[in-house]
Amino acid sequence: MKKLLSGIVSFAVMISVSVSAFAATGEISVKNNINGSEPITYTYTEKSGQVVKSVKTLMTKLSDLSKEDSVIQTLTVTSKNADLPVSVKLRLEIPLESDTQTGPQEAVSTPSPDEYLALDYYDINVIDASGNKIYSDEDAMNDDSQNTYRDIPLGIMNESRNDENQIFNIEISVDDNVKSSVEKYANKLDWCIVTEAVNLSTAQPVQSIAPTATPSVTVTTVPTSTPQPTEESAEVKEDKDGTVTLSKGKFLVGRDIDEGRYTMTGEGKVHVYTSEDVLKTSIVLKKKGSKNTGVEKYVINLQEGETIEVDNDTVLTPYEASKATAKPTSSPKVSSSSSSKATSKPSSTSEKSNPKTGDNMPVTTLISLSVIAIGAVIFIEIKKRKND
Amino acid sequence: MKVKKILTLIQVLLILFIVVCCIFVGKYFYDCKNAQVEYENLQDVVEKYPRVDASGNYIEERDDNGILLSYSNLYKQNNDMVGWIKISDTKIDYPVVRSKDNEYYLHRDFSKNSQYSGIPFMDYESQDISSNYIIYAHNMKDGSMFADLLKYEDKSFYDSHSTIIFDDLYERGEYQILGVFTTKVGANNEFRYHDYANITDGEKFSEYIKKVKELSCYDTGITAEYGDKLITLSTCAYHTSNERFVVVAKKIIK
Repeated sequence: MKKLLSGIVSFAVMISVSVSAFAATGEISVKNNINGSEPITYTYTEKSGQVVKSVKTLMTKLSDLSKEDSVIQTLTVTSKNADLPVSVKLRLEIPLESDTQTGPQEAVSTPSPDEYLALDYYDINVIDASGNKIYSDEDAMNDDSQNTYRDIPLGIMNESRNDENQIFNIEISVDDNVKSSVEKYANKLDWCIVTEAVNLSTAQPVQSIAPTATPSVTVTTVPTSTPQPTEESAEVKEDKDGTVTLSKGKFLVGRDIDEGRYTMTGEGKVHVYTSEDVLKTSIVLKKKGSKNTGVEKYVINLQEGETIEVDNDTVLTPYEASKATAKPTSSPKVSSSSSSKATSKPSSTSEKSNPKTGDNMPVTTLISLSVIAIGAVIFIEIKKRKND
Repeated sequence: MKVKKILTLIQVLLILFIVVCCIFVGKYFYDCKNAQVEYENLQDVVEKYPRVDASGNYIEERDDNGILLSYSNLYKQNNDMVGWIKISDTKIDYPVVRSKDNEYYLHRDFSKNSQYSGIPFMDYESQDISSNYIIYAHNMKDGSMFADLLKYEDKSFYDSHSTIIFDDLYERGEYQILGVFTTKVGANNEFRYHDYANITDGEKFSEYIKKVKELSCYDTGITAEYGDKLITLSTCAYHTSNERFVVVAKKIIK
């Protein structure tokens, strides 16, 4: 009997050890570019859901914001042993501190309006190692919801199931429109990396496209061109302001869609392939406020020859148009206005002035006048002596 | 006696005037010299990593963030840096920066300190996606910044110096000059080339090239088509007031 019991126990132990050994345990490591700094490393599994890890200690450049207009904090995120792709986000979070004034039922205090405002204190842009801006505050959607955090999508890693290293240059500046009194709350914000395993094949509740839908190309207001989607069933709709809506299918950049920088929104999976048919990036989009896995929006540069594949309706809003306050231009071309950095400046040609690069220092005039003055002094001196 | 006193007073005032002028002019040249020393220090940093090795191959040593090693240290000093410009046999050998407007670096140096001569800066609209990078710099009377650009008025100088080096942070680049022109700001026939800082379509590109070729002081025999990357160097010319001298080149080594 004892032998049977010990046999059962050993078998159970063996099984549990084997299961744990084969379970998909990914490892994420985050470090900054300061030599000698300790990386922050943690593991996760598919069942972990969202894993939030504070990396505030790595945000060493934030203190320089008192001296500089903007700083760049470089973070390297390494994903290892991942069995599934992992979505990575940077999160600014209001620390929910225990309120000692209240009773145990209200152990966590509600953030004040200024604390919520602190989430918008920083203007943040994220640039990858190739110099592509993958997130820009300028085209971030206004989120009026009272979230205690703000997420900045950094993309999906480990899609090829190989270990992956990604460098993110996080450009941080202070938003001048946010009152300075929130600075003390902004300093308290926690900076976190949020990771979550993404099952690209099953995760998204993608709405099915009726197979009987008539293949068509609809150009609603643009008389200039008739986009031809790559697949017959695919459909491109282009608005007057250049916003493009893609239905399920594959599309060729340069033919179906203008080259340029877009903000992608929608729900479902998006794959972008280079002109050599190499997977450039995969994104899982979700509706705003949805609890599904994915990001609400994604900024991407689409270049001629690239192919974009979507499995559900996806909206591509030109980078500029997504935040423009002026009336849209008559031209639907994305490229004509895309990617302008100085958003406060009007892009209209009549406003921009040519910088004055002349050397207006009157050096020659001053030297000439000095010579004349010296002559005059000498002349007066001679005159005086003659009179004496 | 009264006349003598007046003459003495005039003499004193003139001497004061001379002293003020000397201080003013001295400071101007002192600042210019300091600026030049600072840029020479930056050049030393860059020259630690030569562009071409002995066999003539490009060296592409990069930092962790993908930036060419030559420029990664400078980029860490000022993350507005977007590249480096150099024209042989001229003083043009400077870093290029880009800000959110076209004013910030007019009178600031690489360390963002106030400096009259400023630093070459790229038009804020010339983002990576643009086919044309416009770079402005002062035409300094001491010959620094883009003063030497005016040497291109002389065709013989062009014949012996027809290429410009412009490296961005990630890629080395050599550009072939295709046009040299002047235009007067505010004139009826002004060519507003600075409105072409963000060229992202073929139509605008062709329009720009056509106008550049039309205005060019001499025929270079070089043209460009959409897909080529252009660089436009601009500085003030002093032939008439508010005149600009512009050199346009296209990338030949990718």
